[in-house]
Amino acid sequence: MKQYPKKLLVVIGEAVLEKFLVRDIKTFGAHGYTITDVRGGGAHGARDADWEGNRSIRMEIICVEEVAKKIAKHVIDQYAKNFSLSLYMSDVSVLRNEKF
Amino acid sequence: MPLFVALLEVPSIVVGMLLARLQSLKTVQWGPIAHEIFLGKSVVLLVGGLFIGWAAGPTGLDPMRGLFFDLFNGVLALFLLEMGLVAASRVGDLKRAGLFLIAFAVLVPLLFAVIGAVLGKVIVLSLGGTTLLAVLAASASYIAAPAAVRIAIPEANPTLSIGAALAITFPFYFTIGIPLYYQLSLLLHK
Repeated sequence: MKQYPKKLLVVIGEAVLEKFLVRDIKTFGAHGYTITDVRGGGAHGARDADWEGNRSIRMEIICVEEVAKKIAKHVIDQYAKNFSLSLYMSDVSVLRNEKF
Repeated sequence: MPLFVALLEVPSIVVGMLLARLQSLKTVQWGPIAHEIFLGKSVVLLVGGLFIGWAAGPTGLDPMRGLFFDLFNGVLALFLLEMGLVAASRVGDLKRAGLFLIAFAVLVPLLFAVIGAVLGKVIVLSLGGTTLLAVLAASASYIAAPAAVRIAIPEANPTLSIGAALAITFPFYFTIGIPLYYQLSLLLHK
């Protein structure tokens, strides 16, 4: 089966940012995303999801490198100053190139 | 009076936001903020519930009485127990809060309770109505406000505001505050 190289961009941030992130990634050309609810901790303290205001999400976006870099830069510029946020990128191979 | 619990959510968020943004109102992006304030999940459920209750009328909700009325106190107790756990988990935030914030979280609700009680007396509410208005005036929102304010005032530190509201004001409210507001209302109704 042929595999196609793409970039996986993962954004972990506060759940209140979800709708803004979904809007933003579509603006930069991402075709889709996957979101999971997560818990964790870091410089901003622990986010245990013990109540509505303390939830975090993990958003995965698979796209070409150029789009991933544009999204990452925008998210950092727009939200990193005031919101708990982590981003990382890795190389992945997809099997359905037309979806990404 | 319970109607005000739902109705006061939106104005309180708007007032809080305006107070924080008084010097920079022109730079505020009203679109996303208004969307969160008026169409956020919690506000829609609160206002929607009011509308459904009004539309259904006193007998319309009878088939659901067993769930929404008979179980109310039990579910409320479970909710308060959970909020107690959340409040306890926030005690660590107080170390960063400082004495000013701790004092603020106790004294400001007391001040607002006095204002609420006096207003209740002025508009000729009953003893119960005056007490409830004092309680509402002194309360903080854990429903719609945290998410809306997080969007509207992103530079505000939620650890401090939520920590103070949950770890200090919330337990104070239920242990000393409400009995105190009742006594205040009794005094005003003598």
